[in-house]
This record gives sequence, structure tokens and C-alpha cells, in this order.
Amino acid sequence: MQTKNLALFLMVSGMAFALGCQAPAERTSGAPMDDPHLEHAEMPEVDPHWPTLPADWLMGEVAGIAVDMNDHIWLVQRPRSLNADEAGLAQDPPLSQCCNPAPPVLKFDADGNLLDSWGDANGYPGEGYEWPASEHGIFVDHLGNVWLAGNGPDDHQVLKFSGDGTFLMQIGQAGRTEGSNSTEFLGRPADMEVDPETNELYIADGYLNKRIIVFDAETGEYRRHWGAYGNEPSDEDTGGFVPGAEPIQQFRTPVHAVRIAKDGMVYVADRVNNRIQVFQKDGTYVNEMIVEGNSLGNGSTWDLELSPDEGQVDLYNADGQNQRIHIINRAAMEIEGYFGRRGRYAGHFHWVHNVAVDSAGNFYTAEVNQGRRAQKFVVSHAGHVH
Amino acid sequence: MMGKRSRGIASTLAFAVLALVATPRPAASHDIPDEIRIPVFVRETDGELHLLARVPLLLLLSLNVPKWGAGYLDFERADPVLRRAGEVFAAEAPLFHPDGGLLPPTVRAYRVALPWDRSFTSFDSARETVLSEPLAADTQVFWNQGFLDLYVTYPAPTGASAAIECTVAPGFGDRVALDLLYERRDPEADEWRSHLFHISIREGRVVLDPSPFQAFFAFGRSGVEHILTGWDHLLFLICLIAPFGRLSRIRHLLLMVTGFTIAHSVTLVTAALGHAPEALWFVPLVEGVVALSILYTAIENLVSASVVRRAVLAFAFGLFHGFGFAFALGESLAFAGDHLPLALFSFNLGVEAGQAAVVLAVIPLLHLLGGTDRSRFLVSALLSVVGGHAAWHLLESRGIELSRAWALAGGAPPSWSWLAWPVALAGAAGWILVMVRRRERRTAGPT
Repeated sequence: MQTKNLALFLMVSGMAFALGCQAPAERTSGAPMDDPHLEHAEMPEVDPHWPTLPADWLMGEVAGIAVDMNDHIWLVQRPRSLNADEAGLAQDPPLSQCCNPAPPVLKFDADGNLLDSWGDANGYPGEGYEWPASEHGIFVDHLGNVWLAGNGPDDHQVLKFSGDGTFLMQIGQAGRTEGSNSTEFLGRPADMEVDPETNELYIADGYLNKRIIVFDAETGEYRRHWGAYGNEPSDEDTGGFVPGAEPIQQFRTPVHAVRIAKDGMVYVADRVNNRIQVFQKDGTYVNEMIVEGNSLGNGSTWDLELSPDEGQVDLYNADGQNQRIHIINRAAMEIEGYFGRRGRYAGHFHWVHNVAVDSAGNFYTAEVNQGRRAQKFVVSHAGHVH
Repeated sequence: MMGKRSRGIASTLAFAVLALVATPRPAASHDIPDEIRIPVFVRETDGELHLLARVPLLLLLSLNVPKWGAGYLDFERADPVLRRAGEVFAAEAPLFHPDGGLLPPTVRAYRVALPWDRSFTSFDSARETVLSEPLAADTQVFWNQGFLDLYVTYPAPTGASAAIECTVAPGFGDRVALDLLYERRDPEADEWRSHLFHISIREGRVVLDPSPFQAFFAFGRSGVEHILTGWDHLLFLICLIAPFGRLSRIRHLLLMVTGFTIAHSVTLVTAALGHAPEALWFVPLVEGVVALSILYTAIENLVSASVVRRAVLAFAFGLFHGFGFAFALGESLAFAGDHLPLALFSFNLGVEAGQAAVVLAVIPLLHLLGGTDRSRFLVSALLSVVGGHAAWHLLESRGIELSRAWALAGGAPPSWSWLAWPVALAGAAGWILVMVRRRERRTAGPT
């Protein structure tokens, strides 16, 4: 009788499990925990589920990321960087069940839900503007407008859109460039930011030119420009970067990122020179720091971001050569730590191209080349990262 | 009748299977839609209700605001439309007289604000902003970026409080909500009283300053709804009474349910009065213990469940369930106005009424199904295995939340996945032990 009861019980419980239990999903590993620079508790933890895309969409290289004033996260990615195999569903006839290229501009909330998307995946020009051949850099200003640039061979323009993707203004012209001292034309601009105090647009210009140039963000009127150390920029060939050599007095291309702090300091990523230069808003040189100074290849200073605390104590640098995010004390201009490593799993990087933070201090990163993804890193409130 | 030994084997096996099958899964997420929260201040003074609201221009889609160029607001032509927008908002977030009639709104002022404007932080600063000079006519504001600030007044009803509803942009459902701060002067205490409400279309009509009766009724109903829709509490209750499903044991059942009630009342009141820890990890910890309470009770049902131990258990776990009830009350405590103790009492009463209804519905059913000891045990075992399984998954996801909260609070994130194997091994060891003892007894033979 007891055996019978036991068998009956096992049958019933077995059925209950069979009905109720789902196959367990494999957990993705988190950020590396053996990193010497940030303590375990300080290490931002990757959210492997962020973001969520529609089932048949795929992103190509993600070449820009920005957080707006509502803590929404904006990406610009390159749909045309996908090959036919990846964009199998978009081929004629379709090669596979997935995927279609996602639109180039994507807007997510902090949980990774897709809120909006726009832009033509094929890069066709719209009325009044020339969409870049290779999307590069995104910024959302204090009025909610979205700015885009491009680094294709003929991408010499910056575009301004409303948040819903309505075209508002173009600065520069595709296919036309006139050097680093032109007040009208750009040279493969890489990144930009609008100063909310003056409504001026600062452009890191760029992959061809070697300068920062400032325009009125409303009218597009030229205001000023400058080169490394506040010098007049020059397009003379500066040769390749040599570690330990005397620092050159010009930016090397690309001038890859520009950020403006609340205290009026302007930070510029001089990528291949492995340095961050600091200026006042009028272009007066303040100081510089070298980051991983022996880095060759693509250089160590790819994108900059400021910590969300009121004093903006830290500056963050995306280093796509060494595949890490540096945390830099802004007052001392010294590296306090970093997170990330080269790799393909969640929390690792391959060509980490951009970094942004939300108001809670969580990090968002974007990767190009074969990285082709955006990641979110949740940060400890009590941790080292501001 | 099933012997104690068989029950032991059955439970250890079930435990082992439970632990092995239920390996950790990532927490489900990404189902939270974007929200539009409209800050609103309502102050009652000088016989009037003064309402200030900051409405995203995005919500004025249907009004076809005049534009120029690519879509910038045409300030010179937009004026009548913006005034109309104020009237539409007043109609979609209406204030009601206590007798149910609409209070007539008067739009005093309206002004477009830029997206980065952060002045809507208090009644005074909001009013100052709305009444300040309008933006220059040539300011470039894209038509759906930025805000419309509104200042609307209503005659204040006497004797009883006004109520408000939120049906702003009904197409968005409960994704549009008012974050409303209500302020009124209490002449007896000679001080300002304020209550913060979160009101979406879901909340229906909310009384800004409820009478004791209104608070009692609203929270009583909320208590009943909470227990009947809070399936983790229900599951615990069902697991608690499952082995005692006989009408003849109704006294014992009452003892358990009363123990549970007293305990959760104590912590509910404690938490509602603001004495619960505020640490980030506290909510997931409590919710984790609630899940654990179901799992433990389910396992105990398979091993042996004594009335006395069950009553103690009900009391102990009831303390944690009380915190859980308090979290559920959360922001809605503002709806109690000045009658917090009464509302808490009424909420508890509602929870008890809901519990009583569940017990009264479940016991006759258990009584009918459990004609013999064997069938009673099988019914109880089935309920417990299903409940325990659900609780395990619940425990697992809440464990992940707790790890994350712990990490956010500055501690190293503890890993909970290691729990599965020790539990499974303990189950297997228990089973082997029972089998070995059985074999020994069989070998020893009768003495």
C-alpha cells in the first residue's frame, strides 16, 4: 500500500512539474570580476538583456549613443554594415527567417524597451538633407533635438532632427570640404554637443579636418574654431603616432569626441594621439592628459562622457583600442579605474566606440567593427563610480 | 494509510526533484511601457482650488498646433489653440464637487516651457513660472518637444472635499498619470497639510481630502482586492490550510489564520507608519521570504504538519507578509488623507474579509475531496507540490532581485544559484538515509 501511495504521489508530482516547469535558460556571464582596477563591489554589472529589438531586426555597427534629459537612450547604427547573410530577410528572395536591418536611429528606455525608431535603413537622402553614408555620432540637446554626423569619405555634414525624426537643419555639405579653417564646410565630422547655456553646437571635426568648430545651433551660423592647444588648425601631414615622441601641436585625425562640462570646460578626444585636451569655451587651452600613452592602432581616446553628479567629478573615456571604459578624476585628470576587457561575451568589448551615462550613473556603450551592439552596465550606488 | 516513512521518502524525493528541475533562470523584464507623468500642484486657499499642471506638448497631438518651418511652434498663431489645450486638460482631469457635479474651471494662465526647464518643483515656483513672461515669439520650439504650463482655478466646495479623475489622453491608458501634490491649510493645527497622489485612469475618482467614511470604505475594498489578487499571499494561505481540510478542524484553522492576521497587521502598520528599513534590499528580501514561506509550508505539508507548529509558522511568516501588504499599499496611502490609522485598520479588515472568503471557499472543497486520510494527503500533496514549484521560481527571481539590490546598496552581489545543488544533495542524502534505514530494519528482521 505504501509503495502504491508513493508511486501515485510521484506520478502526480511528476505531472505537476511537467505541466508547470519551463526549460531553464542559460545564464549569461556578467562583467569580468577579476579586473584589478575596480573592486568587485564597484564593478558595473552588465545587463545581458538590454536592449530588446523586434524579433526580425538586427543592428549593424553601433557608432553613437546618447542619453537624453528623460533618461531615454538613443543609438545610431549602420544598417548598411550588415552583410547579406545577416540581413537575410531583406534579400530578394529572402535567404532566411531573419533579419531585416533596423532603422539607423533607435530610442530605448532604461529597461531596453524600444520607444521609437527612424531614418532610412538604405541611407537615401530626405528632403533638404543628405543622409551620411556611414552614420557616426549622435547627440540629443536640451531642446530634445537629435544631432547626427557621418564619417564616410564624402560625409562632410551634420544633421539636426526633431525627436520624432523631422529634419530641421544641415550644416556642411556632402562631398564638399575645404580644410580645417573653412567657416562653412566640414571634413568628416565625428561627434557633436550643444551647450545649453548658449545654444551653440560644438563639432569634433573630424576624420578629415583637425579642429573643434562652433556654430549657432538654431541658425547654423559660424561662431569660431580652434585646433590642438588652441592653435590655428593646420592640415599639414603630421605623420604617424610614435609613442614617447614629443607631442605634436596639432590634432591627429580623427578628432573623435567633444563634451562640455557644466563648469565651462570643453573636453576633446584626440584619438590617435591618446590624449584628452581641455579648453575653455572660447578655445583657450587649459590642460591635457595622456591615456594609455603607448597605444598604437586606433588610439585610446574614442568617446567622452561626464558623470551625472552635480559637480561632474568624473570623466569617462571609451577606449576602443584597449577595450575598456576609463574612469578619470576630472580635477586631477588621473585615471581612477576602468572596467571592461576585450572579448565577445556580455560585458566584454570589441571596438567600444561610445559611452554614455544616465542620471542614475548606469553606463551604456556602443561597439563598431565586429562588435555591433549596445550594452548597459548597472552601477552600484555606493560604488566608486560617480 | 500512508506511513510516516513513505511520506519522508516522498517528500525528500520531491524536494530533490524540485531543486534539480528548478535551476535558475534570468529574471523576466522589459515589459514596462514608457510613462508620461504630469506634475500637478493643487492648493486650496481663499475659497478656491488653484491647479498648476505641466502638460507635455506631445499630448496636444489632436489639437493641430500652428507651426512654421519644419514644425516649430508658431507662437503668434498658437495662442487660441494653447488656451483651448488648457480647457481640454481641465476637461480630461476634471475636479468634482462632493455631490458629483463638475467644478467649473477658469484657465488663469498658460505658457509654453522649454524641455529643459526644471522650475516645476513646488507650487510657488510652478506658479511663478506660469505667470512669468512668455517665451520670445521667435524661440524655436519643435511642436511636440516642450511643455504647456497651465494655471486653472476652481471654486472650492465647502464642507467636503473635491475629487479628481485622470482621463488625459485616454488612448495612452494608464501610461499617462498625474503626480499630484495636494496642499491645504489646517486651521485648527495652523499648519499646511499635503498629500502626494499618483493618479492614472486606473484609479478612477480620487477624493483629495477624504472623510473618515470615504477612507474606510476605499481602503477596505483595496484590502479585499489585494488578498484576492495577491496570488503569493493566497498560495501561502492555501498551503497553510491544505493538510487540515476538514470541517471538524475549523477551530485549528481559525487559530492559524488568526496568527497570520495578527502578525501581518503588526508589520503592516509598522511599515505604513514609516518604521520599516528603507534599504534597497529590504523589499526584495521581504518578497523573497514571502516566497520562502510558501515553499517551506509546501515542504512541511509533505513531511508532517502539526497544528501548533503551523500556528507558530503562520505568525512568523505573517510578519513578512505584512511588510508585503505595506509595499502594495505604497503610494496609495495618500488616498487616506488625514485618516491613515483608520485606513490601515480598514485595509486590514478588508484583507481579513478576503482571507475568510478564501478559507470558507477552500475548506468545504478540501473536505469533499479528502474523504479518507490517503485522499486528503494526496490532495494536500498535489496542492503543495504545485504551490512549492511556483514558490521556487518566485524565490529564484526574487533572489536575483535581492542580489542586484544588495549590489546597488554597495555590497558584493551574492549568488543564489549555489542553493539549488545543496538543496538537491540534501534531498538525495535524505532519501538514501531513509532507504538505508529501511534496509537495515529489513535485514535485522523482527526481534
